[in-house]
Amino acid sequence: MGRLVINNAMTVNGAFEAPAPEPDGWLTLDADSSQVSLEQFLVADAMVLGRKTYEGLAAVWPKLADEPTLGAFADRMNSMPKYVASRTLREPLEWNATLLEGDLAQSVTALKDRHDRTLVAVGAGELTQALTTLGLVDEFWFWVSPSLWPAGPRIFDGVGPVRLALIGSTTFDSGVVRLAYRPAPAREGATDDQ
Amino acid sequence: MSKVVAIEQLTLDGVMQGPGRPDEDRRDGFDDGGWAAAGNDPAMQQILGRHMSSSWSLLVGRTTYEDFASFWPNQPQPNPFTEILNHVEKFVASTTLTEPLLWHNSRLLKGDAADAVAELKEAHDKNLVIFGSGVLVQSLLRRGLIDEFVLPIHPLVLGKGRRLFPDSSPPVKLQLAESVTTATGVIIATYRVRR
Repeated sequence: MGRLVINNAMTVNGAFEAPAPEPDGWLTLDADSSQVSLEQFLVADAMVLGRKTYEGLAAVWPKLADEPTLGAFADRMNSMPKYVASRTLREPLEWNATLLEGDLAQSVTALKDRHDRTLVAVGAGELTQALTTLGLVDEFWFWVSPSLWPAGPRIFDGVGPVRLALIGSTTFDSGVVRLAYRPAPAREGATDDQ
Repeated sequence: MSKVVAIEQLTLDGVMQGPGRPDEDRRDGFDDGGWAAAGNDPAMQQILGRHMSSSWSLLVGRTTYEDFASFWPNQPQPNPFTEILNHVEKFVASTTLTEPLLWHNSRLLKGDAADAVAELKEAHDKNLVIFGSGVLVQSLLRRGLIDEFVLPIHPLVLGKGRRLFPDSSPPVKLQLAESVTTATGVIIATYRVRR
């Protein structure tokens, strides 16, 4: 049984779109956190993506394979199997991707049954909101860059109340903090939907 | 010259409204108050206590001041927070309150809050510690008057409520000075504003 993880970079105020590196953007990159990030993709089985995130990533990563600093990361991003949830796309899909068809809860549950290791979902759109609301997410990994950024959409928009349990935190010299949470069981007498 | 430190209990989605008690702040129909209570533990108290030692003054906006002034003096005694807050010098930024302020050792900052705090920073020799006071924090942040954020980030997403950094909040680069994880799953991140 695999586990489904939502993995995202964000700012202290929850901005996540357009993660351009500093100094122009908010994304703090450093060798140590990049290595940890690469390792978590190396040991994962596949990625789970919504259409918009899929189209955005598929347009960028194939071009980065020859970048000296990003090559190893790009190789992994490009070679990893991807599952794409979409009502409009049709197979065949490029970038090593397979379409997730039909009911989302059923198709993702079947994926988790089929895989033994981690399925990494990336993004904060319709798909990850639905996965969270459906209770299909086993862990959340956040990479918090030390910036406040004019928000645009925020990473938790539309998710509603979720109680979490912190299962790990890693602080990097660059000021990036990686936070790992899992959904917390509802407390005795609590009325939350989770 | 003093340093301005904002200590703000936050949810993971950045909500600051009503951390301590259900009735603390029901503006806009907010009914999830008290969400930070479960995160209170010795590690939290130790870090907050470090900022409330001898060399500090309280700096708050009207809403937080009125809440503190009605709540803390009326708590069962003895209570360390009541004692500390009763004695500490308190600066209140408000354009609607008038002197005299009734809580012991309170001073009104009149007029534009950022102007008044800029002046106070120059003249004052103790840290100015802010709790809550979301409106004040925004006007100080826009003027570059905040030096440090101490952010206990609680392990929950509320999906509603007032945020410390609303959409109109300016871009600010930070430097992580410290991060502490408490036994209740709160991460207390201390950020300095990069100049």
